[in-house]
Order: sequence, then C-alpha cells, then structure tokens
Amino acid sequence: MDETRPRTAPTPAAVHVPALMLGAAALLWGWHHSLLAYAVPAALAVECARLVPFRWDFDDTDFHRLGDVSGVGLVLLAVVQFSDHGLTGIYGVLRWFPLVVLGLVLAQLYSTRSTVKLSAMFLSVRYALKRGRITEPGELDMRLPLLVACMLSASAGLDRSPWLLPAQVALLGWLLWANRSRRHTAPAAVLALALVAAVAGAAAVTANATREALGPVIMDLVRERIEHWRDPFRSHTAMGDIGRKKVSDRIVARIESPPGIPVPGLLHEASYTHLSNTVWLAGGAQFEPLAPLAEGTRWDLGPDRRPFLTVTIAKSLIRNKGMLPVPQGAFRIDDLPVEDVHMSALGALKVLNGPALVRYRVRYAADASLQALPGDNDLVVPPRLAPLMNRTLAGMGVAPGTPPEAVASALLRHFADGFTYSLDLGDTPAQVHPLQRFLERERSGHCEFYATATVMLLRAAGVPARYATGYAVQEYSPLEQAWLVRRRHSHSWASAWIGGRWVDLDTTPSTWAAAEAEDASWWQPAYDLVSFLLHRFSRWRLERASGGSDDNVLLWLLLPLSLFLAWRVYRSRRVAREARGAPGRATAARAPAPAGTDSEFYRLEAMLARRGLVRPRECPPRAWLARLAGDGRLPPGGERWDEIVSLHYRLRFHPHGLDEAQRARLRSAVDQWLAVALARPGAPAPR
Amino acid sequence: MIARVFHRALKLDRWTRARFTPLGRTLMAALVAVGLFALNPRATLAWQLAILLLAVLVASMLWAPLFRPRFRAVRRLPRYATVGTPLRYAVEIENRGRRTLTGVEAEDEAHRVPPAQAMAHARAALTPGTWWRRVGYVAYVRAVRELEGVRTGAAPVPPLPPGDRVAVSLELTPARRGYVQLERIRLTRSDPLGVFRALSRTAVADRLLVLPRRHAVTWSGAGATMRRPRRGSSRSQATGAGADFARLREYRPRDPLRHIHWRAWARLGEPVVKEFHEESPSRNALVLDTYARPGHGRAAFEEAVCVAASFVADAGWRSGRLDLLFAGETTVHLAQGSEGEGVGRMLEALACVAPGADDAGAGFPALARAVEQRLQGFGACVLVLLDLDASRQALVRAVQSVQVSTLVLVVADDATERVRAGLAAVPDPSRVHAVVPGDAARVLGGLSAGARAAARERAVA
Repeated sequence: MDETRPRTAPTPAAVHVPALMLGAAALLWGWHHSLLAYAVPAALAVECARLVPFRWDFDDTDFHRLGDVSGVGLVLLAVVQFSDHGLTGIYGVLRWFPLVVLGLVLAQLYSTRSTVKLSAMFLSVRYALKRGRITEPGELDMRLPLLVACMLSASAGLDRSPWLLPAQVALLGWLLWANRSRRHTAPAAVLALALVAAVAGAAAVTANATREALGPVIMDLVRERIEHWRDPFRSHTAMGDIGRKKVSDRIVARIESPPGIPVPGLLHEASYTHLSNTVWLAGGAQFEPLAPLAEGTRWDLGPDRRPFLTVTIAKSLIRNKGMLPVPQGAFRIDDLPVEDVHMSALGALKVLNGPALVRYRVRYAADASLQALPGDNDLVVPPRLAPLMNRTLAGMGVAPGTPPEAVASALLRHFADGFTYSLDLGDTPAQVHPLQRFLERERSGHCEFYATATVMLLRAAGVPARYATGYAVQEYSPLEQAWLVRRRHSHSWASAWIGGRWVDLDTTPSTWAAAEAEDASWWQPAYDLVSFLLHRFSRWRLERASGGSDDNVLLWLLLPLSLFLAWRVYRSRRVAREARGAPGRATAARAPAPAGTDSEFYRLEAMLARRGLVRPRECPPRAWLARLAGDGRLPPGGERWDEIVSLHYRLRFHPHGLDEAQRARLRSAVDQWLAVALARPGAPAPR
Repeated sequence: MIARVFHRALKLDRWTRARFTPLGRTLMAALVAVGLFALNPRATLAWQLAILLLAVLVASMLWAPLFRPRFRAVRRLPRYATVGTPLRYAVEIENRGRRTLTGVEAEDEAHRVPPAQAMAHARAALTPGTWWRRVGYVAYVRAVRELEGVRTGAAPVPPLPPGDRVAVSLELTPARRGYVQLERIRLTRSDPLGVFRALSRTAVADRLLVLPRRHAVTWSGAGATMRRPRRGSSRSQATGAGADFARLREYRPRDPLRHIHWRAWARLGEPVVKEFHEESPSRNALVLDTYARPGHGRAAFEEAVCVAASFVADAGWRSGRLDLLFAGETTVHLAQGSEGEGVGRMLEALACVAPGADDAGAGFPALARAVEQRLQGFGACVLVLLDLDASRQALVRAVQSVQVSTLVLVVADDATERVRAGLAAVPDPSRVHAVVPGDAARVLGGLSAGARAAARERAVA
C-alpha cells in the first residue's frame, strides 16, 4: 500500500479540565482552610460558566488590567502577611492565593478566549512585546494554575485531615483519566493510575514515618503560640496541644554589642504566678506608670546599683507600642523616647506611644530585680499536680526543708540527666496531665514543660518561684555586628527566690538552641538581609527625626509599592492622554499644521466661490476646474488652471512639497489669474 | 562558558517540550511550585502533594523504553519556501517493524547549531551603542532559532501496519531566508496517562531554499519604455524598431534609404527594403546594495532584500526583462533565453545574500564601478540602496545620466531623513523613494501612482 495523500494535522490538544473539577478543587481548598464561605461561591462561579450562554469579548487590554489588579492584590496580601507574621506570612499568602488567581480564571471562563496571554500576568512579557523582543507571548489556560493553587493551598490548611492525600489523589487521577492517551486501553490507564496511587501512598507513609522519627528536632505549635505579642497577664502554653506548628524567623530585637562584650543570656518580658491547667496567669499584677527623667528619655526602674553592666537593645514597636525585653536585674533605661512606660509588679515593662523603632540602653546589675517580693501565690501548687511534684521531689532526694540553693542544684541535675529537648508534642491522652507525661513518661519536651515543671517543683519544695518568659540571646550576626533575637528564640524559664533575690533558673537542656537553629528557613539569609536594610533605614529615620515619629512601619514597607503604582498610573495616564488628545486643543496647538494648507489655490477657490462657483466637497480640484473649463465657465485669465492645480497638489501631497521656484510660480500664476478676473468681474456669469 | 550554560538550558527546555505533553508540563510546573513548600515538611503537607506528582511523573516515564519503532522516513519538500509563510509538505513514513504503530506523532527536526556559532550570531545582532553589551538567554535562544531557520510542528500518524507506508502532512514555518537544513524526523508516543512521551529518531537530511518575502510591484517600468535608448540602428516607422534583421519587403514611402536592399532590388526590379523585427524586450538591471553602514538595522537590510526579491519575482516588471542582478559581490547575468531558470538563480542569490563587509568604505564604490561599466544598453535600472550618501548619490547620477530609466529605493530605519538629506544631489528626485522596515508592501504597491504623478509634474514643468 502506498498511501501518499498527505493528511492534515489537527491543532495540538490542550489540557482538558473536566467539568466540576475546578469546583471540587475549590471546595477542597475551602474545606482545609475553613473558608467554605469563599470557596462555595468561587466553585459555583467557575462551574456556572458552562451554563451561562453568553460570553464577554475582552481584549488584551482588559486582561492586562485584570492582571494588574491581581498582581497588586498579591503584593498587598504579601505585604500584610509578611508584616504581620514575618517569614511565616508565606503560608498566609498561600492560604489566600486561589482567590488571587480566581479573577483571571473567571475572566477567561466568561470571555470568548480559552487562554490568557502571559502578558496579562508578567510585566516583563509586556515589556518584551513592546520592545519587539518577542512577537507572540505564550498563553496559559488559567484553570490549571487555579487547580494547582487550590491543591497546594489545601496542603497548607489548618485542617490536617488524613483525607487530604486521598482527595488529592482523586483529583489528580480525575485529571489524568480525562487526558489519558487514547492509544492505550482503559485497563492500561487504570493500571498506571493504580501504580501511581500505590507509589504515592507508600512514599507518603514512608516520609511521614521518617519525619516522626526526627521528633526531637522537629518544631511544633509552641513556637507560634509564644512568639507573638506577649500577653503580660496570661500565657497559654502549648503543653498538651497537638497539631500544626509555625515557626517565625522574624527578628524582634537586636542587641547592639560588639563581640567580646558580655551580653545577657536571657531577656525578660513577663512573669506569671498562677497555673490554671496549661495557662499561666499574672494574677492581680497591675501596671503602674513610670515617671520620665532627662527630657523624657530616661526611665528609672529602681535604685542605682554599682557595679552595673550596660546593653543597647533595638526593637520595633508595632503600632507604636509593645513589651520591652530587658535583662534580669535592669534598674535604669536611657534613650527611650516614648511617652509612657508602665511597669507591673512582676517586672513586665510596657511602652506606649513610641516611634516605630526604639534603641534603648539598659543598665543592669546582678543583685537587682524588677519583680516585687514573693507572696503566697508564689508557693501555690495546683492540687492536681501536688502528688506528682512530691513524687518527683522524693525521687530526686529533696526532702522538705532543703535549702533553696540545694533545691535549685538538684533540679538542674535532675533535668540534665535523661531529659531531652523536643518540640514534637505528639498525641497526649486527655486523662493524663501533660506535666505527668513529661516528668514520668516521655522525659522530653520543650521549654514550657521544663519551666513549668521547675516552678512547680520549686514551690513544692517550699521555694517561691514564678514562670518567666522572654527571649534567649544566642545568635550573633557578623553582618549586623549585633545579636539577633528572633521570635523562635522565645523562651521560658523559672524565677526562683534564692538568697533574698529573684534568680533565673533555666533547666531547659542547652541543646534547644541547636534545635532552633536547625529550624531556620532556607530563605532566612535573604530575609535577614532585607530586614537589616529596613532596620538601617528605620535607624536613619530615627536619628534624623530624633523627636520621635508616629509613622507606621507598614507604611514604609508600602512606600516602594506606592511609588511603583504611581509610576504605572502616571505612565498609563500619559499614554491615554496622548491617545485621546488627537482632536484636543492642547495637541492641536503643538502639532504642526498639515503641509500646504497655506496654498495660494485657496485664494483662487474663494474668488470662484464669490462668483457662485462653489466646489462640491466630494469633487477634487482638478476635476472641478476641468469641468468648469469644459463648460466655459472659468473666469478670464484661467488658462493656466492645470498648472496651478498640479503645483497645488504637489504642495499638498508630495512628501517634499514645492521648492522656492515652484512656489513662486504657483503664487504668480494665481495672482495673475486673480488680477485678470478682478479686472473683469462680470464675465462670465455662472449657470 | 556562558554559551555552554545557555546551550544546556535550551537543551533541557527542548527535552522538556519534546518529552512532556502539555499536561506533563503542567504537572512539572506544579511540582516545582509544590516542591518549594515541601522543603519544610513541618509547616505544610505540600510534601504529600509533591510525592504524588513525582509518582505520576516517574510512573509515566516507565513506559518510555517500551516504544522502539523501526521506521524509515522520506520528505517530499517543494523547491522553495518563503520566510514567515507556513509550508505544508509531506513526509512518507514506512513501518519496518513487526507491530502496528498507533498513537504516534511525527515531527521534523532542524540542524542543531553549535553554541559558539549561536553566541556569535547573537552578539552580532546586539544593538550597537547600548551600555548593556551582553547576550542574555532570550537573545541566545532567538539567535539559535534564527540560525536553525525553521519552526516545526507535530502531526499525528495514522495507524500504520508493519510494512506499510503513509504520507503525513507536516508544517514548518521558515524563520529566515537562505538554505535551511532539516536533519531528523522523530516519532513520539505518549504513555497511558498522557504525561510523558517516548521518542525515536531517524536521520533524514534535506536542504530547503527559503526565499525572502516578496510583495506585488506595480511599477511597470513605463518610463523605461518611453526613454528607451536608440540602439545603433536607424529605424523606420513602418518596420520594427529593432536592430535584428527579420525579412525583406516592398519599399514604402518614407522608408530610410539605407534600409534598401540594393541587390534584391536589382534582382527583382522593384525597390525592396530590409525589415528589422522588434528588438528584444527592454533589458533591465537590479542593484542591491549590501554594504550597510555601522548601525544599519538588520531589519532594514532584510527589507531591502525583500524589496529586491519583489522586483525579481514580479511578473509585471519582468515583462521587460531582468537580466542583470548585482547583489553585493554577487552578480547574476542571464544569457539570452534563460529567463525562467534565471529568475530562480536570482532569487537564490537574494535568498543567500549577506550584508557585505564595508569596513574600509571600499565595498560600495566597487559595486558602483561594476554597475557603471555594464550599464550601457539597459532600459531600466532599479537601485535598492541602504543609504543615500555621496557615493550612492554619485551612482544615481551616473545611472540617470546615461538616460536609463531609474528607480531608487532607499531602505533604512531612518530612510525618510536620509532621502531628504541626499535628494538635492540627485537629478531626478521624483524617482527616489524611502522605504522604512515594514513599509515595503505599501511603497512597492504605490510606485505606478507615483510614476504617473511624476510624469504629470514633468508635463506641467
């Protein structure tokens, strides 16, 4: 057989997205983020496109506008999320990302197009098109990004349902089935799909098992719980919790101290006295305002001490207020230009009405303390925990009446022996108190377990103790020449009344610092650099306007975006004005007059019009004059009409117009005719 | 080094496009996006999705080794193609294996360009004077595509039993003029999931001549006929105006005496004159200036070639006869009776012409001398120039001075300004036209109107 007649090739098939699939993906996203209020309308909107009989005829410009709106929305979302949550804001962006894409998807579905050009999404493509570097921008079926965005976003959802993976397998299988190769039989496709599901399931189980095996180094919920704005009256611990965990690398403070100069190991922010289940409360400790000294920048927290150490701390104040971390033993703060400083009896410092960034110097001494003298509350052990604590003390060999120093030493030894640091909380049976699990079963936990257990054990041994929270200082940045305090460096420890003063007693194993460092994000170096630049900028502003400012940090983050938007608006407005301005007065004033509008021919035309020989608008001058000449109606002196018209045409329409001699010829011919005609005005009469 | 990196990147891009279906590429892109979040398995469950996508891709690839077709392919290419115009041609595929080929697609592959050559081409295309004198990846890819010369497309092959042959219609779009090399034909088949393609190639080398774009020319060379020079012989009103002897005929009043054939008169006893037949159609010449000044745009040069090719190919203008072509250093002179073949030769010469090296400024004067030496006896001459500087003005003056009907087209990015600047030195400015890139079709289509207007102006003058 020799079949030589060529066959035509059809257009390469695009990816087929089956009906209802996008809606299902949107619902999966809404389910896992508890955003069904958004997901259901979105699903209906994308699926109803099949039922709506009409389509809008959007052009490229419309898609560009919509792409710009989506892009600005994405940037705003990113700014808000990153400013609120630091680097973990990326998950907030991911959470809402399907809504960012949705606009373009709906525009595509309800328009006459089946794809969206990449120029709608990328300014670089638009720029390359404009410059002629590319002639055809690529095109994208926006349903696919929405599908992927929904599936990916669902993975970052609050609900870690075991049904997520099967749901994703089902969605992907559906897509693959709809696009399977028709060359193969259905059983082959089913076999391939089954193979995929089996491989994916096995790999997921294996990966999960591996992940769980790495428990001691895996971070969990606690970091997020203790990293944000610290409530001086209440501290929720993560003891007993399970579930998701977010760790923030955000830098909350900088200790500007060159290497070699000692810095405090812990920065205290708040202390608590009452333990209610897994929540620490500050009881009735009220904040009292402090009186400023030295033009409002010096704040004395207690009497002067000698000798003392000094440390300079820089901290951003979100919304112009915040808690001030200070070392234990702080008694004086200098260079703090805020309007109000309040201090609680438990040593927490709160500032109000300050600039976006404060850099304050703290004097501290070992024998000083901000906290009030111990009271009865500092010896209370919840009845439910008392037997556990007594058992543990007995196991440690601490008898009632043991001196506080000895109790502290025994506790340090006890937790250093056989206890490990872990942020993997796992599942805690409801009937067992988390502390019991920590002390008697797991012997592993994070700092809140250690601090709470230490406080309870101290109290059970008769030593007044409080639960203290703040930050550990453990990361030095050579770039900034400063110690960085991140949110994930949040820490808790015990304050014990030993030897007539409050002493920090941190029983958490020292390996926790290394575990924290392992949890650093891969993008942390880039974030640190940006954060450093922003910090330097804020410092510059602070030093420039030393009187303080009520500017919001967020506004300054928005500054580049605003400038960009202003530039875009300016550019687009300018183009629009130029485009519209064609018939406008301003443009007309600038534009040169069309060539030849000052031709002498028009004087001739006016003369003829006065004689009743008006040229019809649709009639070209040559044809008009030829007709008049043929009819014998031309006024006298018009023998050179053909030459006049030729010169006039050249003047009007030839790219080079007339040279001087030709223009003179035109002028003289017209003048001559006008002179003759005016000399004999009467003849001939128009018909 | 950079060229090698770009080469690898382009190779990977091509591999991805050849191996993955659109769905496969979507899944790949999704895997990259998901993979970024999967790096931190404690924060999200994206790692599960990443594993799932990876499993799909790996499972799809497992089918590829099963596709091992044995086939032979032959192209049936037409003689010429044109830049930018899709060309449909047949490829005959013969199944030499033992199994029926089903679900297979065929696609052509052009000759792959070495990275160094592509890099050099990209550097040459850089806009001079820009501060950023670096070839980026986009410019490199553009250079590769330009050198390869064609964009190919795939077409499905109908089910092909063992031993059978079928002709598949493929399409390619030439991206540049000149010869392009087609090297291989590949057959692809996707896996059951429609994600990954198995691929098999066979070497089939062919060469295709891609002609420049051509536009309709309305200039009929009317001026040339009117001003045709007298060619050595006296003419009679009654006989043909040419110089070639045709026959003898009876004497008619006002026949020139020197046409009388005395011997025949003596023999026949009545006056007989020699009659000459109409001379061969007007002999026309076309000159393409290839010596661009530094900074002359590549697009403008291509437009000049396009203008020249339009004159060569246009049947209306050839009704005279184009028998001399100067294209830079290439000269095509047609012998009598070789018009049909000659057009092909001229188009081939134009398809392959490259910008001439005119570093010392000696290139164009040499071309001008060659033109002037051979211009005697021509009826019309079309000059396609890249500038209207002093040397080109001199050529225009020389051509117009020998009473040859001339048409001058100046092709440059700033052609209007150049024409305006040089027009004063040209005896007949009405014959000079400016062509900016992209405007050739309009100018060539309006030449007759321009000629009529010029004739009228002359009459007025």
